[in-house]
Order: sequence, then structure tokens, then C-alpha cells
Amino acid sequence: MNNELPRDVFIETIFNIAKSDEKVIFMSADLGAKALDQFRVELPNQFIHAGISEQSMIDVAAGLSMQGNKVICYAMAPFITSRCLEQIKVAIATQGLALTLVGVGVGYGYDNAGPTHYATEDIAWMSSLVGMEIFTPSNNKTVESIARYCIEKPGLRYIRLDRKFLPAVSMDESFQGFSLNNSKNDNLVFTTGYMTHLVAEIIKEEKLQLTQVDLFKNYPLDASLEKLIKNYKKVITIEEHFLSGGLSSKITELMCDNEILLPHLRIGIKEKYYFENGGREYLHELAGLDKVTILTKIIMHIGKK
Amino acid sequence: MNLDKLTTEAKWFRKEIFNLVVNAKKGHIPSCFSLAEFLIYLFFSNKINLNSENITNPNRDRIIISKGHAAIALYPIFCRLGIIPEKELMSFCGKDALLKLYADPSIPGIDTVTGSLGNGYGIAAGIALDLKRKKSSSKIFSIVGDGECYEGSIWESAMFIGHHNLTNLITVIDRNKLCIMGETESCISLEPLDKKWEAFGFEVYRINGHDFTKINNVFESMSLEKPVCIILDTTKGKGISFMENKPLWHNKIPDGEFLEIAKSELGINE
Repeated sequence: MNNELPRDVFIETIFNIAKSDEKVIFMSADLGAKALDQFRVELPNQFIHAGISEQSMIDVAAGLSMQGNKVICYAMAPFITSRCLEQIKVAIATQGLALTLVGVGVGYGYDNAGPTHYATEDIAWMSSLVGMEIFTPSNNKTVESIARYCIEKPGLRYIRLDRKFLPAVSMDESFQGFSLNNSKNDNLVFTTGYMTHLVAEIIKEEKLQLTQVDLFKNYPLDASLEKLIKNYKKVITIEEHFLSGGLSSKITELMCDNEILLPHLRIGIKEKYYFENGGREYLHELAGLDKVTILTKIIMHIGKK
Repeated sequence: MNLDKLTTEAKWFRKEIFNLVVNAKKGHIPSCFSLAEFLIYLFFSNKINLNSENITNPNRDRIIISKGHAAIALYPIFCRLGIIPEKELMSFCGKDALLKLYADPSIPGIDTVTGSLGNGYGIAAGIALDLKRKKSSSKIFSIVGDGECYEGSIWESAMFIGHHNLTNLITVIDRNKLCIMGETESCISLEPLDKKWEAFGFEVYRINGHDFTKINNVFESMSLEKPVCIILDTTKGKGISFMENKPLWHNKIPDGEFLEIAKSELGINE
């Protein structure tokens, strides 16, 4: 599992459950994966190619879900969200149906492909749907736990997978939606997915006095975060998502609702569409998510090391 | 087929829908009237196995009116069949009433939320696929508006139904030729609708949707080797002269002189 892509880990986990549960049905809108090749060969009756037709895929999935099946719909992140947002709302959310949506290539994962392929607004879109839970795992162990959770406790879920392999993280993990590193200090930083690794590197390299939370459950936030945040003096959120409606918005809302007044530094993407090529790191430079910019902003917020 | 009985029931249906909508001052009369003969044939010639006894049975037949603004057409029929208590018609569209302007699954016999065009048909496809996997003999009828055929998701689902050869799903197109702003052929043309559905893998029948004999002929000749699509050439508002083929009346409630003319033509208070 060490060097596997998140999508392969997710699909393998589903596959192993599906072998003994014929109610598990996997639908793809023409996005492949190594693990999916095995799934469709060995369980052809539980795999449905929906065509590159995300809207119909969601409607068909609604019908299947109504009939008691455990359905997973899989596509690139922008296409499984905004392309069929209305179908997810009408056919699934308004009827309280269970469905797992898996989007691959969140943030700038499909670097060089341009704004059509970037998923930098999807937390905002999906969190506007009643009953939706959103997860962005930062490592394969969490990917596996989330895949199991989706089948064992059916509900409406959106799972944001990175396109590339993400290494393990050294944090205490609980399945309450966040993992925590152990340092004791006054400052708390929330990250998710790919950015968890980037920020962990900065903290390690610069020996920053920062407690990092890998907030793999993006929405709704776990209620225990209220107590956690109250132990700190300053808060930072760093995300590969538009500032509006993403992680920083969710943390701001939690603090507001619980009357927590703390300085909050929000690092994310200013609302802009990037057509430039040059890779994910270069896009991060353009969007202000590169290591130097992040470090500078953090130091200005929490003071010198 | 008992033609006299069906003709009488179609008159009953139009009166019921008219009273329902006029009392509540909400609803879409013409979109229901274009479906009158087909629905009456379906329910009163025993072509759909759906009744008060099997309403929760997984092997019942189902009907999904994907053009959700006409889903209220099922209310009087469901009351008549004892699926919905008769008294519920009186409170249609009222505070917390069971029967709402757009149907939803809180209403017995209604399988899904509709109202946003293009969704109900795909949901019907998902149910049909599940029934096929379970080797159930249940059928599902899905009624799609011709204006609804503008939605891309209809054709996505049609491709899916054709590919999976979902013969347990019978597609019914209400070709009343009007959308809200005018005639479909002058807005964005939909024709040739029959050739389009054929090209998607359907066994297509195109008939006068108000002619019971022609509807009956379709049911007699369906091979069910391929998914069936019945295109009903209908008249929107059929049965009230001033409403027929007039886009203005899509969701307008008649009053004054119009109310009297309509009542007289429908035989209300005779």
C-alpha cells in the first residue's frame, strides 16, 4: 500500500467488501484506475460504466440507492461535483439517499490542465448540500478507513482524493475527522490533503512552534474541535482551495458559533482561474501557496521563531 | 378494452384535476390534460400493477412522471385506487398538506422527487436496472415531457437505458408541442423525435395520445425485445377549448368567464 495511488487504495478497499456484498455498486464516468481494472473484470455485475455522463450517473445512482444498493460514483473531482451539482441536490440530498461520491485530482492535482480540471471550489459547492460529509485524506491509511466507513455506515459523502501518491503522516489519528501532531505551543494550524504534507515540511524545516491538525474531515467539523481551538492563542488555515467556502470558512464558522475570538490567518487561493502551465509547485507560487510565501505569512502571524 | 368506460373515466379525470387546481389556485391543468387518456388507459385497463394492496411491495409496478409539474395527475387516480385517502384532495397545496404542488416520496405511490426536469427519468433508469438485476418482473413507466427532452440528462439516460436494454422501463413522451414560451418547433426544434429515440436503441411507437384504440394497439404490439418509447402526440390543455395549444395557460388558473366556459365544457355542475 506504500506507494499506491489514493484512488487504488480506495477502490481496493471497496472491492474487498464488494466481493461478499453484491449490493455494493461502483459507477465510473470514464475515470480509470489500476484497481478498477481488477474490479470490473472480477465483479462485472457490480461495475457500471456510466458514460461520460455525470448527470445521468447521479440520477441512475439515486434509483439504485433507493432500491437499497450501496453506490459509489467516481470521476475527476470537478466533474463529479459542479457538473452534476443539481442532480446531487435534487435526486440524492433532498431525498436523504446514501451515495458516496469520489473525486480524484483535488486542488491543482491535474496541474497543467487548467481551471476546467482543477477542484478549488468543490468544498464550497458540496458543503452547501444538506447532509453532505466531506473528507480529504492526506495518506493511504486514512483513505482506507474512509472507504470502509462509506460502506459500513451509508450516507451522503464526498471523498476528495489527491491524484498523486501521498506519503504517510506521523500524527496521532482518531477517526473524528482530524489528526494531530504532538507539539505543545500557542499556535494551531489546520491543513488537509496535499497541503498537510507541504506544511508539515515547513514546520519541520523551520522548527516552527505550531501544532498541526490534519483536518481530513472537512465538513461538518467535529464538535470537539471547539475545545481544541480554545487551548490555543492563534489559528491558521492553509488550503489548496478558494478562501471562500473552504476550510478557512468552516473553521471561521465554528469559531464564530462558539464565540472563540482568536487571530486567524487564512492562507488559500485568491479567487482567480489559472491557465498557466508549469506544474503544481508553479501554480502554488502564482496562487501564494508556495513554501516561502506560506512561511513568511506564518511568521508574520505568530512572530519570530 | 372498454372504450365507453375509459371515455367516461377520462372525463372524470379532467373534472378532478380541474377542481383540484381551481380550488387551490395552484397547479398545471394543461400539462395534466394532455396525459388524460394515457393515464386512464394505464390504470383502468389494468396495464400497471399498482394498487392499494401492493403499494409497498418491492415487486409492484411503478410510475414516475418525470415532468414533475404534471405529477399531480396521479393524485385523483391514487385516491380512486385507495392508495391515498380521498380527503387529502381537499387540502391540496395547503399548510402541511400531504398532496403538494410537486410530488415527493412522502406521498404513497410516489417514488421520487421530481420538478427539476431531466432527473426523474434517470432515477427511473436506476430503479429499472436494479429490478432487472433482481430478476423482478415489475415494470416502470416514466413519463417525460417533450420540453423536458431539451435537457441533456434525458439523452444521457436514454443512452444508458438503450445500452442496458432496460425493457422493464417504458418511456412515454408527452409530445404536446408546447413549452412555456411557445411552440417547441419555433423555440428549438425537437423533431424528428421518433427517429431520435430510435437511434438511441428504442422500439418507438408514435400515436395520437388521446385515442384509446391507438394506445391499446401499442400495448398489444410491444415486443419488449428493446426498450419501448411511446411518443404521444397530444394537445396541451385538451378538453378546455380556450386552453388547447395556448402556452399562456401553462400555469394560469381560469376565473370569471373562463371558469364558467371551462366548467361547462368539462361537464362540471351539470
